[in-house]
Amino acid sequence: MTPPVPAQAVRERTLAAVRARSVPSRAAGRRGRRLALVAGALYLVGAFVSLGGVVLGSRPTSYVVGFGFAWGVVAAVVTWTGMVRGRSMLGHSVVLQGWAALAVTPALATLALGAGVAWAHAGVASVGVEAHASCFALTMLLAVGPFAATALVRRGSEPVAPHRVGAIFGAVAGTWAGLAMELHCSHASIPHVLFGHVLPVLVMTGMGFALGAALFGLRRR
Amino acid sequence: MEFLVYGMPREPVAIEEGGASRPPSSSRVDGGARVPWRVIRQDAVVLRTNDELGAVRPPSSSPDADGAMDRYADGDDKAFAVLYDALAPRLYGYLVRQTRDAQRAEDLLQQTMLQMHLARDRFVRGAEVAPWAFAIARRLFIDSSRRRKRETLVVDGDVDSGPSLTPSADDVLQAEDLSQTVDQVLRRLPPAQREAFELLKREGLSVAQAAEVLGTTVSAVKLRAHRAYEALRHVLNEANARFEAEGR
Repeated sequence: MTPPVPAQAVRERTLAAVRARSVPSRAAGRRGRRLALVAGALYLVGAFVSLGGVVLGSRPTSYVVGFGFAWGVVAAVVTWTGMVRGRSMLGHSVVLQGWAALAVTPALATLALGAGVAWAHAGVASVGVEAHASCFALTMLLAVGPFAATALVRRGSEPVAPHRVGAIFGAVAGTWAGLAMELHCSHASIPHVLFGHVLPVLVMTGMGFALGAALFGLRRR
Repeated sequence: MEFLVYGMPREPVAIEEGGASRPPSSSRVDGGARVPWRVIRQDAVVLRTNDELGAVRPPSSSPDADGAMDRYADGDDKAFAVLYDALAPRLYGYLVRQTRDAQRAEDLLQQTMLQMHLARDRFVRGAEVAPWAFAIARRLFIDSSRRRKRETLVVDGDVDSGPSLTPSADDVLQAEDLSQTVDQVLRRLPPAQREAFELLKREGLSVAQAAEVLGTTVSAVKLRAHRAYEALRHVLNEANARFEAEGR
């Protein structure tokens, strides 16, 4: 069977279209992407610092350090899964990314429960719904910057599963924002950590999934 | 002319159209066991095992395309023409099979190449171009089909149908019959199975690359491809029986 061959006219048209649309080289593009990611990180760090940075309150230092470290490990793993492409244009398997996005919230919830139980002797005071809502809103606000940065860096470039890529990017942004709030917020009651700090991660993951196709999917040019 | 068909392959088989070679003997060694095969017709459609396909399937990687894309990403504008020449025929063949419409395939090919151009600044040094390019082409095809809302999976006629053979009219007719039967079987398969089969056997991607393109696991690709092989084997066994009943 003779394989079909595209007409010469298609070649001419394609090359003409390419010549008509200038795209920076890899080196220039890399600078722009790094700038965007640094801006996203600076937004998060800047907001965290302006809120007052780490606040221990009545929490034991070991709780803040131990829980914060474990949370940081989860954040690093999710970031690696979602952001690092290795030597492939398609990045890590979207199956792996999907599972990572799904698993991050249960993992953080389990950590929160474990930490709450382990440090129960510290006698944490329960807090009201207003505090939950306040932390929830602040965490979401903190997550916006990193998510916007990833959207800028990878917009319109995901051919396989933009929803899942959106979900993992939402999870990445939410996890780092949640860590910042966990370090800042002096409340350590389990319900507060779950609703105020962990739930926004789930919401960001869902939001990323919902916006994934629009933000990261290929667009007809 | 006859088709060569392994009667009881122990592992998945694949269609090779236009093949001319015969197995080395009247049976083959597969994992130490001899597997019988039967001759139906020759030169038009040959079923072969995976192992034997190594010499005839397209390469799973395209060094020319990989190098050209790397140079293009580094700022060498002329490399895009090289990239086009290395990839466009494979992508076009894939798109023609998906769309059954040469004009639409050309449009999607142009879109695919344009997407690759627009991702020039993001191209990962040393990455393989082919899986990425097929993933883009596949996505554009899916999106385009959704837009049209009337893509039919079973279409009469075949843009690139039939082997280019010159022997007797009867042989050619029967070869085309079987080839079309195989093609129809492929078209009736669930899209996931057909895609896995086509990416592996027609486009020559590795299982891992096909999994990347399809956004699934290696195991899932193997399973889908295996089911496609099974469906093809069933049909070809029936064809075998039919030819024998006709005394050919």
